[in-house]
Amino acid sequence: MGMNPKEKAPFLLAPLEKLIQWSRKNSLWPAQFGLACCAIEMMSTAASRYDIARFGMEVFRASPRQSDVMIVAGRVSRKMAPVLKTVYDQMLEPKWVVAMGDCASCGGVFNNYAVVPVDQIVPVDVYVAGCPPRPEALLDGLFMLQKKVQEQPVF
Amino acid sequence: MSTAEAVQKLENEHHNVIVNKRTFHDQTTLEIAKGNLKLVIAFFKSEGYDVLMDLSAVDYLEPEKHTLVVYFLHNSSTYERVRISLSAARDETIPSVTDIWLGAQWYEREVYDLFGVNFEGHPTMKRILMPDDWQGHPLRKDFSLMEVPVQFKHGVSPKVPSEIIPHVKSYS
Repeated sequence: MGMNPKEKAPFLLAPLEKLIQWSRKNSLWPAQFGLACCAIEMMSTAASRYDIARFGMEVFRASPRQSDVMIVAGRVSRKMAPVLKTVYDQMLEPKWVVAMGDCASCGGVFNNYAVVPVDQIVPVDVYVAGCPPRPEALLDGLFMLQKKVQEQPVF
Repeated sequence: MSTAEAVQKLENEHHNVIVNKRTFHDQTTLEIAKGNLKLVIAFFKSEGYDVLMDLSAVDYLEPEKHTLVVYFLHNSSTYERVRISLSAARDETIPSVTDIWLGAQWYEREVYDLFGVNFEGHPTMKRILMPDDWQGHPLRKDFSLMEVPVQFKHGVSPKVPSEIIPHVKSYS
């Protein structure tokens, strides 16, 4: 910004960190990972009635390399689990994961050989309960994530 | 021609091919032996039943463990359907119909994956739904449910499914 960083850094660091945290939380770009029925509710959250663009998250990037948060919406089957891990590994730091719905959080109604809960594959930050969760519930979970992003240390 | 006429023609031309015939609400099911499968399928295809709607299976534990493989044929000009079923014991192979319908490839892979029925003459017999190194065939009735006991709050402890379903209880 034209100032000498060595002189000004200790004075400016804390507000700069707040600025970075604020800008991160208000522009979380989700990666499309809608797998099953919860994806419909995620789509309706992104639609005009429960607008997610108010909070800066309308940009659902198709490429994981350009996204911050992965909203796992739907059941993860045992064959899909390595794919999920690959997509998570391709995301750049800092990254967060939201397990949307019952099937992603804990296996949901399925208690069998095929469905795997997401936290056995990737570390999850926020669990959103519901089958499927209402758009308001998903927005509530994303607010919790925003609060977490605001408190995460940057330096 | 209609299903009844086609079945009648089959009975006239090849005797003792149909082991069992059942009609219920205009739906005809023929049970045949494994050796006559290609014959019956080719006959129905020549009679106009040119679409293989589905190739599926049902697993039974009584009287002995066997799998009933079911073929649904559909006539696209008269919209008639016929169901052909044949039973395969464990570790018995069935001739494949992939040379008649290419679409049967994935159906047969699914039946192999989930029921363990091998089809001879299939180009690429490997698993399609489960991971490639999975052991076991999940939709068999003696495959355990692989359930995880769930903790509930407020002192609630419902029964796990394998204690409720009778045949699983006896085989788990």
